[in-house]
Amino acid sequence: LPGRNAHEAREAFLVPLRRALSCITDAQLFVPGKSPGDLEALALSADPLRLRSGSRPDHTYVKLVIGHQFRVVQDGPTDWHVSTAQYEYYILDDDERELIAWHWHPGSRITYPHLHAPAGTITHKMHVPTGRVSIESVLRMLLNDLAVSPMPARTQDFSQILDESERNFIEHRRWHG
Amino acid sequence: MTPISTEPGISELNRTEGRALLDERTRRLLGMSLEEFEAAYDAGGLDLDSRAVRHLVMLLPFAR
Repeated sequence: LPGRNAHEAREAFLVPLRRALSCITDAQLFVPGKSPGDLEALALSADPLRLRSGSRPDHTYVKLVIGHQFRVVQDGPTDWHVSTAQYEYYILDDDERELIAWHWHPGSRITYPHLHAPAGTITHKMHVPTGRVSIESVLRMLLNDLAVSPMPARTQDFSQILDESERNFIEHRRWHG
Repeated sequence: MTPISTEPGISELNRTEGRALLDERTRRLLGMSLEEFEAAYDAGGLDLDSRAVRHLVMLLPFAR
């Protein structure tokens, strides 16, 4: 995501992302204090993030784990962007059994983005290829498919906020996978 | 803990705060201190197939 300096590029990445997360949680988003070019990471103040899924009284809970590393990269004198280094996003059940996970860790043996979603002969160990997955798309799945309750302030506009935040990601990503 | 933007809910942790965050998580997830976790990681002694371990490794930039 672009900026005229490292601070702007970092903000252009983090502000829409925090706004997207605010659709499901008031947890804080933490980043380490690093210099441009250093490896950084995201952390939520609640980890895993426990979310009610479905309506009362038949609701259950799922948990979201976000692992994401990135760097602020300089392209020119006044041209900076945030580059994702790797990600691992998980949705767990309330007993912390893994339901589905999206990974991209290009430094390992499996270099392409993939998901782990056991189903029939597809085991948990298998790497199902995907395109590059946004955090917003995972949040959208939680809200739309797993019926996670949006935060009260976001019941009307969560879809718009996720779309706007993800548009940033789509327009400025350097590769799709 | 320093807010990095006028947008609420985003904070930068300095190294001491980052290490405290990660220490709490290594103790909760693996029952070991951050120092023990880092030593095991540096020695190649962690099970990188473990979801908890992989997640904590992702958070190492907070500590280093």
